[in-house]
Amino acid sequence: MEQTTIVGTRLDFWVVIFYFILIFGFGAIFARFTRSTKDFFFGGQRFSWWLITFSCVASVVGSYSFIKYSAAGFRYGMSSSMAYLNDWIVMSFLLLGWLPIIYFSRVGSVPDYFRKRFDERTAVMATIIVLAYMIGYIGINLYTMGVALNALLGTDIFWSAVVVAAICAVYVTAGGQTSVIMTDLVQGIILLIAGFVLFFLGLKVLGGWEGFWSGLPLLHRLPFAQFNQPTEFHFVGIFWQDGVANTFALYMMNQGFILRFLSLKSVREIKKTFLALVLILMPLATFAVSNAGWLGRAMHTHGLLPADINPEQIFVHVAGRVCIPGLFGFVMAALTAALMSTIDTLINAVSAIAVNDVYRPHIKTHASDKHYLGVARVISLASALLGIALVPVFATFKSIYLAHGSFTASITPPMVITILLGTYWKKFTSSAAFWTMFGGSLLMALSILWPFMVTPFSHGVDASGGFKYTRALYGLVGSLVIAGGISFFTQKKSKAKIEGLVAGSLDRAKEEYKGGPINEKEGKKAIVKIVEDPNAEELSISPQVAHRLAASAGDLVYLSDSRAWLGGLRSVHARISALHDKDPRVIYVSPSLVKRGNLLIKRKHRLEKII
Amino acid sequence: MPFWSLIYQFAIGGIIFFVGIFISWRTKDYSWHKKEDRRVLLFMVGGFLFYLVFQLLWHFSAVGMF
Repeated sequence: MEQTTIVGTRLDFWVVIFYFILIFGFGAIFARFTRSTKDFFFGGQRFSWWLITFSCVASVVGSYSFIKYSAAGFRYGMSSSMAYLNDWIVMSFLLLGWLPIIYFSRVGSVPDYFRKRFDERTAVMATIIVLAYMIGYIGINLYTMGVALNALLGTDIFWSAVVVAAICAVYVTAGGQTSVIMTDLVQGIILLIAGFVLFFLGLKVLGGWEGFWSGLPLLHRLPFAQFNQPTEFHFVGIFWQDGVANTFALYMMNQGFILRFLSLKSVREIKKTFLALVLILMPLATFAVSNAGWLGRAMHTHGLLPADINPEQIFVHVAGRVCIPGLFGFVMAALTAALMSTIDTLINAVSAIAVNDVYRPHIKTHASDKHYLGVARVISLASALLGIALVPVFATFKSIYLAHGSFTASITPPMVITILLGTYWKKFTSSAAFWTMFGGSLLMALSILWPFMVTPFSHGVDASGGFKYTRALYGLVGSLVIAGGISFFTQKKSKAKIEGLVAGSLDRAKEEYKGGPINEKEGKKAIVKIVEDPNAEELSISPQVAHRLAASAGDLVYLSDSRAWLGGLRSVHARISALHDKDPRVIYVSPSLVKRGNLLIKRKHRLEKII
Repeated sequence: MPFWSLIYQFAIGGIIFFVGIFISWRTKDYSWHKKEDRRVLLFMVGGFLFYLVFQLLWHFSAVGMF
């Protein structure tokens, strides 16, 4: 088997160039919406669920997803979809616990949560782990994308990475989270469309559904892989490693996703986003990234592809086989979209951790927000450059590439257990948290040296594969034992110090968030006309509007442009400072609020109570 | 056979899923009396059932049972 290169036509090349220009321009447009670190990292906390849902899909799907899941689809069939269809397992913990807690407690990252819930030592350790994981991940994504584009367009691996990283770095540096969200929205849609187009063109080549279905062996048609074999791809390993450990890690530990959820306008929107993501878009995404492999298997059965085809190259073969010039370029653009949307998320996330968890608390503690915004932009550029610098390193030293994979696998279960117990177990102590991360990672590393340690958790998986997947269960159980054991002998934090940070104290977190008693009476939205009033403290509404919203003075409300398709781009949170007795449809807002929310006075606005 | 995989997924995965709901209910972070909480719970349990039914039907269809 040899490496296949399908070099697209000149038209394909121009389609990809056009796509780069489009994304670059689109990202740059939103730079003007970024005026503070809150805008830069959290997009001003103003966005609607549908916008974030699509952008999350783009961030979940990396450039390597098309290659990896198509290869799995070709080798093992439709069970390659397992990894995307098991996110529901963690849904209850995230929707009812972790996400509301971090939103209302104004926690900006995992290290920030650990600082508040445990101590500085645990936060520092988490900062080092998360930064090492994310910077390495930027390099890996750039490298794998370079490899893919090299195979598909014949471009140089390093220079492909440089171009893509440069485009991402420029718009992320300028527009921060808002640019990331907006470009990822477009990229999410593009990669889903490309996946579906590929499938329908493939069906055409195969003579329709019957040709496709009959070309799949029985095991390839099933939704689940065999329970514990083969060692390279079996159900039980995927379940524990991907479904449980990695899914918890993706949504709880990945700073990119934390920032994305925190950029939503309310916790209610977070819940909508997560439900739509898990129940609708993840099934669509798994279909988009895997189906080239399924098509490839059917084509292989019918003799439409070479008998000795390399599964790692199946995406390239199928795309080259079914696409006409131009369309092939569109599929390549989708592949690049998958990469760019992951890279931009990571660049912004690295910047957030570096500024909020390193620079602000340890280097310069009392500077202006403008200063921190400048530093955030510099770090964004620096992390992109660091990612580029890692490309030749990963290309030259495969052991470093593999080491990052082992590092990620080692830290995931201990981090997941530390976050989960931190959130759900009040008796979990700061010492236990620190040693769970340290000891759990050590246990994982030792099991890589001595795989026999995993045997009791292997579910009968053959040891020849080194328990690559079932190690996650061993790590989760080992970390749980360390956490429980040390908590038993060490001093827990007082209840008052962890209020709002653990399950069972969500109402307290809400009060802290609001700065007063909460109001959760069900109200309705109101369409209002805004008038700028220099004397307004923040926002003044009529009693009629207050009645409709079920709100009163002091409550937090969300004011947005009434055009829903803007997704909250022109919107702002505010506190009702007073009730007025003038025109009931009019609300009076301060000039600073208009500026902060990028509001257009002449437009109609929608007002809703948050809490 | 992969059918055991399906059972394992929804049995063990289901336990993890419902434990999350149970803990939130026990700690009173979730309340049946709040409309929003009720709606979220219905969507979550509905999602669980959707995946269960969808993947069961997929499995039986793939093995030619209908």
